[in-house]
Amino acid sequence: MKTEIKKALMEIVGEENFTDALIDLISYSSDASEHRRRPDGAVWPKTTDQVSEILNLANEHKFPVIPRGAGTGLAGGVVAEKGGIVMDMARMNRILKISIEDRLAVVEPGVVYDQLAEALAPHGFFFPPDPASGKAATLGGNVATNAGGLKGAKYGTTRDYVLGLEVVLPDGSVLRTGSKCMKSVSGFDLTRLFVGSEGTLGVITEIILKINPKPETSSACSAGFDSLEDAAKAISEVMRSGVIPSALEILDDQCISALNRDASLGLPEVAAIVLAETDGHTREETGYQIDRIIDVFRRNRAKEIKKAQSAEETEKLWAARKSIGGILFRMSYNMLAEDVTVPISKVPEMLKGVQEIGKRHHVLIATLGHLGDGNLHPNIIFDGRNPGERKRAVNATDDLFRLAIELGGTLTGEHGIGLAKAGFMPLEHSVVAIRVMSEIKKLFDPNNILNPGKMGLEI
Amino acid sequence: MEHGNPFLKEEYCEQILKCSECGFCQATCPLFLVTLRPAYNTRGKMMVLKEVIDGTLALSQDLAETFYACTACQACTYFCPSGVKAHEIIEEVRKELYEEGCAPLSLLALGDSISKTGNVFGSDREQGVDIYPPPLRDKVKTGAMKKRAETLLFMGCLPSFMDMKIIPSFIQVMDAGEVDYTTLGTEEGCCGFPLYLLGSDGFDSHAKKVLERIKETGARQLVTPCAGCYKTFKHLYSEIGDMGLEIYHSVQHMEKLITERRIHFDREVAKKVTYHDPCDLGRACMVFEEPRNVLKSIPGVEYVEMTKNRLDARCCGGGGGMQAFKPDLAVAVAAERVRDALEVGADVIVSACPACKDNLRKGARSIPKQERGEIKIMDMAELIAKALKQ
Repeated sequence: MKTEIKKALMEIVGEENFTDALIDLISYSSDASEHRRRPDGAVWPKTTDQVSEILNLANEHKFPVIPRGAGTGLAGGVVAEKGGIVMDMARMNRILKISIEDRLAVVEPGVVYDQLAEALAPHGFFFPPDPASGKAATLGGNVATNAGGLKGAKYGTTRDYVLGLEVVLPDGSVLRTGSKCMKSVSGFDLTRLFVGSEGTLGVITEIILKINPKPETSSACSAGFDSLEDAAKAISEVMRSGVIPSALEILDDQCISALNRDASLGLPEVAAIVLAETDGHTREETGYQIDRIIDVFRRNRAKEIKKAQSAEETEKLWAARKSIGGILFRMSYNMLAEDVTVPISKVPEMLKGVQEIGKRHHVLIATLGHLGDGNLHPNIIFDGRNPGERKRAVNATDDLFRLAIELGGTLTGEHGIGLAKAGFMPLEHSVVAIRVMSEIKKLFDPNNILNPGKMGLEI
Repeated sequence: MEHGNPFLKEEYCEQILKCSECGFCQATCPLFLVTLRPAYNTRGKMMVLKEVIDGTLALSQDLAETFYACTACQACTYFCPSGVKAHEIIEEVRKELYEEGCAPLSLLALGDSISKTGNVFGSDREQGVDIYPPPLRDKVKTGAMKKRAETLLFMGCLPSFMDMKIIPSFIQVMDAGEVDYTTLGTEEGCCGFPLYLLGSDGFDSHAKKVLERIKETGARQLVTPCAGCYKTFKHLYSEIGDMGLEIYHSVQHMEKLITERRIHFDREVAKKVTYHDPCDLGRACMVFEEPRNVLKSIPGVEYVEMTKNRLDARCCGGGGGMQAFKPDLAVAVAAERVRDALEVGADVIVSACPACKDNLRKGARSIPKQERGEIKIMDMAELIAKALKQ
């Protein structure tokens, strides 16, 4: 990194808020994905003005800037693929306003999801899209990747809650999008353009989020199925039964045997376990809904149906789902955590296809997923030190993507494109769509300084 | 598969490679939460080690900072989805860094003090008993102290040299319970824990000497008010040799005195009290309930629990050598812990570790008076002594 640029950056943020120490470069070289490259430096801005000055400098000297939240992403979205500096937004972490009257919260991008949840709880409110990484992930990152979570089927994803943004553009100018209103059709919807843009168009410095009243109670049940097909059909039928569960999760046989082996949960050895949760304001309401779901499960040959009668029992039912992430991580050295998503009616076909792909490529795929919204998580578990195994894992991923697209689905339901799926953009999007996206990128960032190399925009 | 790594055990290499870099440790690392610097979090450390195992990077002075920037609180280990025992790995790496001459100077100075004077502060051994209650002090000075007793009270460096209240209160409670005890007096030296934290190979030989001195007392049990000493005797000495006596922390022993009705309370302590779990007693030794039982048995005490407690307790920030290596950060973490107590309306934070007490006091002082109010930090023995029947 050139001394003059380093000096200029230090002048903007202060000497203590710039680093090119080796330990920092290494810690900023990756996220939760397999991708890795050290940046040339990192900055910790505290204000929108500083962000603006840094981008101005970068634009002038044409060096890449990679905005970063907590680095919990799974797609390599914050890896400095083309060098440059990481702009760590974690220190802009104030909750600026909570207005229950207006049903919104205004936050800086570095606020951690759980930090907002804690602040909203005393008011009886919550911010529904809850990624599994919520205790570490920042809201800026959630917005930039349009994060989802377990509650997607009922509550949608991050995009459904962003009312407005403050964004610094690559030339340093500050853009305000949206409003604090629940409704607005004034002008282009620039807010949505930035949600999920993975730091390629601008740096988010303030977020206006819609918040929801938190349902006071919930009911839960679990059921085992002897065939994946029955489980998938049951899920599809639940989603057209008139009841919308607040969570509807599946664990396949690979997940079940791993849980029994490593966590001694004593789960039934079936082809799939489906967990459902309903939420609401009275036990009658949530109980009624869960009973309807149990009816559907029964009609689809479910066995070992368990209904939680207390908070303790609910916790026990969900223990399997909550432990699975860690259990899978421990199975081998590498895991490609995919998140292909298909229309709900195609879930049975996709689940079957995932199994076939695993067999075809001789790789272990453990699948779980938020099936209420068609979002599958086939996790390809392998030992990356073995080149043959790595290659088979990568090939299996290719096939997963192809199948999802064939079924009218999408490459990614919630993790994002980043580096991991950049090469697959043409598989899902037409030449016209990609051209439009890359023209939008050029309009905002003609010098390609913001998070270059991501999303397959460089055509 | 074998790894080419010369200093890390195979099982640790396996764990490091299995770190999925999910970053969930950021939510638990007390240092990360005040610095928001990923290099100070566990994931950053594991990323460095992956490169060391790969052979693309060699351990060096440049890398040492990340491994010494750790309070050794073990929180990351308990909440790691990938099952990485990070605190054990960091201990191993520190040993290697020490051997390679890469340990930070501020910590090496601690090691020097211990080897020169026997205590971390480099103080004159004779002064270690100045804080004893006068009759006991006189016994030590005139050589009238019992050579042998059933119980050996091991005071620890901090209570002996830096704290005005812990030892007098502790002795007061032991006397009230008519415990048959002796102390090592001016012969008591550091347990060696700081040497271990530093990664020094001098720990073993130091520990052997301390062990001999302890055995000379013929005591059947050792009781210490220091969580660090307790963990060291309980876990680390067992690898050096057979101690031949039971190890108790003072809170465990005092709980026993209460349940056996050997001490009685007749004074109320009308305070809202919370308990801070020292990492070396809590996560490291799983002692969680005894201190809470003691507090709840003191008349007048209204016990309140902090949101982060037991396994989930926030470290005070003073462990792992941080008070010497990065004192400002140690205090910044302590301030957060004091805020945890303020949040639940506590008047008093009781700790069972002199280092936590010292660091929490510094943390409290760093918080503006109007925010911290009248909050006090006390050792368990001090609170018990206040309620003792006169």
